Amino acid sequence: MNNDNDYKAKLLKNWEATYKKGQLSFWLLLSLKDQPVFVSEIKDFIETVTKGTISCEGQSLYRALRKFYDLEIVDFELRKGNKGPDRKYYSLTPIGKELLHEFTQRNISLFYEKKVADLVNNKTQK
Amino acid sequence: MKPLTKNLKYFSGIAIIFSIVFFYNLYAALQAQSYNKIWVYALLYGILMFCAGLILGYRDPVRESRTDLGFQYHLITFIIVNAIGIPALFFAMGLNIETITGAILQSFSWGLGLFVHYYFSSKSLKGMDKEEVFV
Repeated sequence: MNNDNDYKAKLLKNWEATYKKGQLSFWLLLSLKDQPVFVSEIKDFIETVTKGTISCEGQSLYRALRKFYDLEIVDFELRKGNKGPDRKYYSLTPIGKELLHEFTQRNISLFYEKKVADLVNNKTQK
Repeated sequence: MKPLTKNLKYFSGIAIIFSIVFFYNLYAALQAQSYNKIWVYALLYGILMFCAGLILGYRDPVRESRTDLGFQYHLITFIIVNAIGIPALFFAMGLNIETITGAILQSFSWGLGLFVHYYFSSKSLKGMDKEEVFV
């Protein structure tokens, strides 16, 4: 039995590693949906809403934000911080908003369809 | 979205000036039979063109263009060098089978390289690897 649990944990770890690859973009863009935020707020948002299943380094967030800025998905403005240098507040561009909306409609909304939701809920109720 | 970025326009201007100066001096050296100067001019021209492209291209904001900037710089260089170099060749060396073959061979081999660059560029998002964008 213990052997089964170890094996299941290994499988889960592997599946999650694959599943999480690419998830950062979604959570990052979602964190910018409502209002401009700065990097540590993005990091907190992601770690809170994913209940710690997705953790991100500041460096990888900066890299992703830089890439999304070049791709015109996000924009930023400099605002005064409490102390120290100005902070970069990131927000979605109109293209970024449309992109996130379409991605969510095509990929995330599927989980709310009755058939899928029932299957997921039955599984979790057991 | 502009068809050419500001830096690309600057690069085009610089490339036109460098090319005119280079081809003028190249054929002047050929006519004077100063063959040792040719290597110096060619090397200088290559280095200056490369540096101009590198500096302006590196500082060119990717955000300003929807296509691969690296390919745009390559295409502009191809057009300018051939548009100035081929007429200069015919003007200096005459329009004969040798110069025509030389011009065709040069344009074709470079054009082939340009096409390969276009192929890889068309598979990217602004020059970024599509597989690496949303990870």
